[in-house]
Amino acid sequence: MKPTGSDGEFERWLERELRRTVGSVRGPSPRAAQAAYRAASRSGGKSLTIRTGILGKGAAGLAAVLLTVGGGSAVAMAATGSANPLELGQRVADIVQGCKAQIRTDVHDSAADVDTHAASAARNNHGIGQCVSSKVNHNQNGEAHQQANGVKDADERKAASPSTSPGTHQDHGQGNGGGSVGAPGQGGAGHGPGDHGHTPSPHPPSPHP
Amino acid sequence: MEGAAQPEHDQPRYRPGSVEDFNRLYEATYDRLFATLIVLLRDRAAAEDCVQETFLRAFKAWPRWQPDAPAEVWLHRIAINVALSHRRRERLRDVSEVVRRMGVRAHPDPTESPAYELVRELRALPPKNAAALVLRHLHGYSNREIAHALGVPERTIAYRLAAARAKLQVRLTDLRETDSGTLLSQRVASDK
Repeated sequence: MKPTGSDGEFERWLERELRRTVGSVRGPSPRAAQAAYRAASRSGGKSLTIRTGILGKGAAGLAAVLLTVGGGSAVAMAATGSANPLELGQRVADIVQGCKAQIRTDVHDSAADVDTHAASAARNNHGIGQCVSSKVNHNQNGEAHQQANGVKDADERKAASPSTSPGTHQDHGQGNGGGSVGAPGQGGAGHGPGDHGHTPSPHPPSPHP
Repeated sequence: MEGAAQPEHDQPRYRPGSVEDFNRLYEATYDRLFATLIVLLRDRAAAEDCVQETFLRAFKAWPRWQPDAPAEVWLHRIAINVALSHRRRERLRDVSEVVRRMGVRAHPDPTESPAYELVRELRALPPKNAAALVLRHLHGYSNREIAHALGVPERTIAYRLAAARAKLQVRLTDLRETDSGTLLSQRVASDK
């Protein structure tokens, strides 16, 4: 263990000790899904350094992890097109608020004083799930779309009054509700090497001598 | 050698600009970059911040990456620059802030225990010399790769490595002699 002796001996000791002390150290964000650059790439690469500063102290990748873990978060990402936690919450809230306002306006315009059931539905935000779903559908691609439908059903069940017939949900599902279908979509975003085959490189081998 | 850089013909192929390839690169090199930075920086949190900053910068430049050196060497070059900038910024901070951060540590850094005097002494070296030692003796880089990572001529590396090793050896030997002397004097005092 002594760092004395010949140069060769010291070099061997140095290698051994470095591997023992530092070589076994593992960082907190070894998965690509946890990396800050992933979140940055989703939000258009804005203000990378600032974001790192905000999320600093080892938490830079945490937001991306949180966003890819839960189904609802996955939908939110799909809906907003962003994994940036600073933008995400606000954009989700905007979508929901927009839907609420839209429902109230629609009910008021079409039913006015006559349709008290519709007015009641508006107060209870009936149909908000469908509205959010349609906005999500505008913003997402295929795999995120599958995730969104699964959670959309849950969203509607939550928003619906107890008197709502279960049959009202049947026209939303396309048979793909639930996380089991959404899961592969998440995997596409979250798992690194296992998902990526070794595509032949168009470049020649490294000319590094 | 475990942890050594892969031979050239075994280097994974990466396509500049490919996000999938960059993800692979991240997962293949994250721990090794983290290990390098934890030697150069004060603590794990700083190392993690700098690793993330490294990959952020690398990702922005990824479409323009030229495979004239292994991708990991290129990343190390960025990482070392990020670490140097970080160290400069830290030196500018108020001393009280430094003391406060040293005193409050959520997760103990295993490399800061007294058993790891080697890491402590490496941190005391000029950062590029310490980086050269880590790249050589932890990651098994060649002089050429170290030169690329540090952005200096290859002929400089042999000199830097030799100088850094000599200095480190002297410091560690002095430290052990001091420790032995302290222990001996304590024993003598307790015997009296």
